[in-house]
Amino acid sequence: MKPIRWILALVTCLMVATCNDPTSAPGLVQIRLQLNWVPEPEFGGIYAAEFDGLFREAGLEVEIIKDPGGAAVQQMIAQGVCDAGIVSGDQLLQFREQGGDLVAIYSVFDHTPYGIMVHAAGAPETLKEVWQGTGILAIESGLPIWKFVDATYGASTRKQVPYGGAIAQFLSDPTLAQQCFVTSEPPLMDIQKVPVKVFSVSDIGFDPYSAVVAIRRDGMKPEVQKKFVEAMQKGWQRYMANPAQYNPRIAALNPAMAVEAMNLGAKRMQPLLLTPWTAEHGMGSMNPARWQAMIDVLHSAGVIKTRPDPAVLMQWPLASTKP
Amino acid sequence: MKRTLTTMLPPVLVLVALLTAWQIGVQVWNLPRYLLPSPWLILCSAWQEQSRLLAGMLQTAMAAVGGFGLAVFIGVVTGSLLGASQRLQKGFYPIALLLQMVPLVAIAPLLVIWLGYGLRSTMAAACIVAIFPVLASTLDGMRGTDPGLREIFAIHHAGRLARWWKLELPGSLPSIVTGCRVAAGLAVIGAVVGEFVSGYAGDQAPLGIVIVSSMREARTDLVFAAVGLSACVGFLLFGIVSGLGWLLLRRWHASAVQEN
Repeated sequence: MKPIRWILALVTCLMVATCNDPTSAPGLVQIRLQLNWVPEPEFGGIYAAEFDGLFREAGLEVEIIKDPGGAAVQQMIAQGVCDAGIVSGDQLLQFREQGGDLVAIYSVFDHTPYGIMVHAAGAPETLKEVWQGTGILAIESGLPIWKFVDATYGASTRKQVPYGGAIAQFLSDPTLAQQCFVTSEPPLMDIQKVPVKVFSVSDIGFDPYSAVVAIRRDGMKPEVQKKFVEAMQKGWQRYMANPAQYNPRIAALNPAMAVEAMNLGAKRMQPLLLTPWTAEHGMGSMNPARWQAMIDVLHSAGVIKTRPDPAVLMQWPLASTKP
Repeated sequence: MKRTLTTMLPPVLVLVALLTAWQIGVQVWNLPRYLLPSPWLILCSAWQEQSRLLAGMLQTAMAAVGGFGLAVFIGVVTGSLLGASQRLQKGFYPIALLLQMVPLVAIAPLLVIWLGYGLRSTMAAACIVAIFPVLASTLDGMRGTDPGLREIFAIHHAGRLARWWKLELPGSLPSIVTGCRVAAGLAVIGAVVGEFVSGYAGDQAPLGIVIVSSMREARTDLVFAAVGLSACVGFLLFGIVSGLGWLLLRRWHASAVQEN
């Protein structure tokens, strides 16, 4: 065989191999779900639904893709790189101003888990004192939530540096303050036996939906949305009832976080997920008034220029059964 | 004047044609600005955010120039040392080669731990990626020294240092200048990657920080503006290195003489 034929045969084989996914089952609706971080308890219910076969029972084949590696999940959804993705509600709002049209169908947290973590020794009393203190502040600049804090307390007097999710720098610098998910970094510190103090952003009046499952407006049929949301809801119920059952398998996907830290994180998620609202309306459901409040706050802080109707940003696929 | 025009005109025409096609393409296909903003929108956004972008450009330029300067110094000295001794060369050159293989993204967080946030870390990142072309080109230049001339220096009992200063270094200059041209662009890339993890945010945020924060805000127009400015820094540095190279070589080396 001539070399050119070998090359053509190889290319054909590669194309066939990449086109046919041997794991996909016939009759199941494929959904690619892009997470915005590595596997952690904040995605526990989604993994529980996957591990327990709840998605398959609902006729769905959900591929959970971890950590976009710096790419913006909202852009990945809009471009069809994935069918659904985890983004923060405020980013969804900001994305809309740039011409994106995504809609949130499920909220993981009813209250935002965003906070600022400092070393407990000599820690200030309030978030304002942290924000206006000295030392280094590691945050993801550009996130609306920090723009809100800037608008509330004035630009931080600390030297701002990028937040990369690691804790090594925090451990080595007692003056460093860094952003955190109260369910993630503080439990890691507990394991390391490093006393920390956490200031939750929701305590100062900004409580956005910080992890919503978003889709393209016309990207998923209503009956598929309903099945998808129901499966996630069941997954979250199971996970919150017994996180220790699922955390070892999640930890296997993210060796950087120990099972013990995941169990602690899941415990801290309880008040953020199991609220009077979710008890009444179902886990994952969102309150349009809360979206409106987020829009108002971000508009008055100058983060967004328009004030869209919350109905264009969120929908509840289980509307016929719950709110 | 006519010669300058002849040199500048073709790339400018190509650039204008590309930008026009881009602008028309965005408008014809009605592409959303988060996906691909038009050049005009990028220009408008850059104008609106000029103070932030110019401050960022200055910070990135400082890191790139500092890192590049360090890379040139270390690269020329190390390359000269390796060129002077076969044993050193055999022992150290493969290790120096590893510098080129270092995945900067992976070690940038370590630079923060070792050197702290800010300029020191970003300069180090720029230096790491820029050092190898300088070192390799210096070594190449040293190896290419005419043996006959070496013998003449030996006949006149010239010391090692005198031989290096008067023969090997000048003889290596064309090669070093070429290495420095390559390193100039790499230094800017290294600085921006370093800034992704170690740059200070705020009013004086470098371009790397502007890029990542604009990505989070889905401000693709600002990402393009910042990337364009970092390319300008690289282009500027390349131009300065080329100009200095020409000054050093214009009287005696064929490449510069031809340009004259």
